[in-house]
Amino acid sequence: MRFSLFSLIVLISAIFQTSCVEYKSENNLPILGPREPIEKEVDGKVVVDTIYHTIPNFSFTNQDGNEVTQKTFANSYYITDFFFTSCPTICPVMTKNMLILYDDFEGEERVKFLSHTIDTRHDSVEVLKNYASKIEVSAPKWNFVTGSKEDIYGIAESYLASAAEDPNSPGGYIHSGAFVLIDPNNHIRGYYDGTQPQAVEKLKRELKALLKNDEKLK
Amino acid sequence: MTKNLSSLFLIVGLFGACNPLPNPGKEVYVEKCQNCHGIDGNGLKGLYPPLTNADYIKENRERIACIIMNGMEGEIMVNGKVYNEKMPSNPLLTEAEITNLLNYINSAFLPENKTFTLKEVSNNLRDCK
Ligand code: HEC
Repeated sequence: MRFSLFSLIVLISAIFQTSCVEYKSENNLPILGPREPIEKEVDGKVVVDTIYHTIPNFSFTNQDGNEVTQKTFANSYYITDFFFTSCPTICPVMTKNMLILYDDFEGEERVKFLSHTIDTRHDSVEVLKNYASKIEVSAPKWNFVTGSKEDIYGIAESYLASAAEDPNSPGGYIHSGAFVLIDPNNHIRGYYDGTQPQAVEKLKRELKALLKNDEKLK
Repeated sequence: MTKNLSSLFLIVGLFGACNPLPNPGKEVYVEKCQNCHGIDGNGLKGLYPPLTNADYIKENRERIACIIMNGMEGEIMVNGKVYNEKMPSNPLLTEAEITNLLNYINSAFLPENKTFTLKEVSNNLRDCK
């Protein structure tokens, strides 16, 4: 009797393990970015903790003139990018692809969107409002934000995305076309090329798997 | 043997002919226009107007080459919807490239529109405002 109970436990845990393996590719997205090992003493023993790269606090203004901070995204995943409204090259495609995600996660409260303008001179609150209403989206689901140039470029670095002024580029700026996926703990979970439909499909799949996994853990 | 060889050439030649011809107008469209006006010519919501069956193109036929060359801004109405954003200029396109581009747009998005000739486009470009 005791033996069969034991083998039952082994069997069940084996099933769990294989099912974990099955989900691994999409559920266990790694936490990206630099890590810092921190040594500390617990009960006289030295243990090593890992500090994961975390998006620092921020404060920007969205298309409605409201403040947007980390609290805006509490308990949610968000997808973020860097763009500007008059960008003639990749931004229109990024906007189009972000719209696909916006429509797909429309009823999902745990998913939000954050687009930063890198043209803080031209893209005022009013210009952003106009842009958002032309593509028929609204805050708090999709925030288009502006702020001081230093803050925007600084936060781009934290997302490990590039953004810079460049008079030689069409429109005057260079920036990455990345969609960056952030989890409720402010960790970066994925980078996707926002100009490539296949990459956007991958983001969709992986985010859905993360959401499903969170439900299971509840 | 030579006969076999020549029939081989014939077959290879036939296959070569099956490859679609390069479409220079399409290449310009993909590079310079598609990001905004879309692969299907439908534009993007209220931001970028459609080219597909656009009444604006039919009604302003003689101005389209200039719009491509010099860009445009200000409020316009396309197929009953208002647009008011800025389209960038393309000063480096040649008259021939613009002609090919316009004919690609016709074939892909405005099948009933009359073909553009190099002469017509070159005349239109002389009168740009
Ligand atoms: C950065 C985005 C962008 C790019 C790239 C772009 N356009 Fe436009 N286009 C616009 C906008 C915005 C308007 C409307 C301008 C306005 O409101 O006055 C427009 C208007 C037009 C119109 C007249 C309105 C209509 O839809 O019939 C035509 C024709 C047109 N574009 C063709 C082209 C062609 C051809 C190219 C490539 C050489 C091109 N555009 C590249 C954004 C763009």
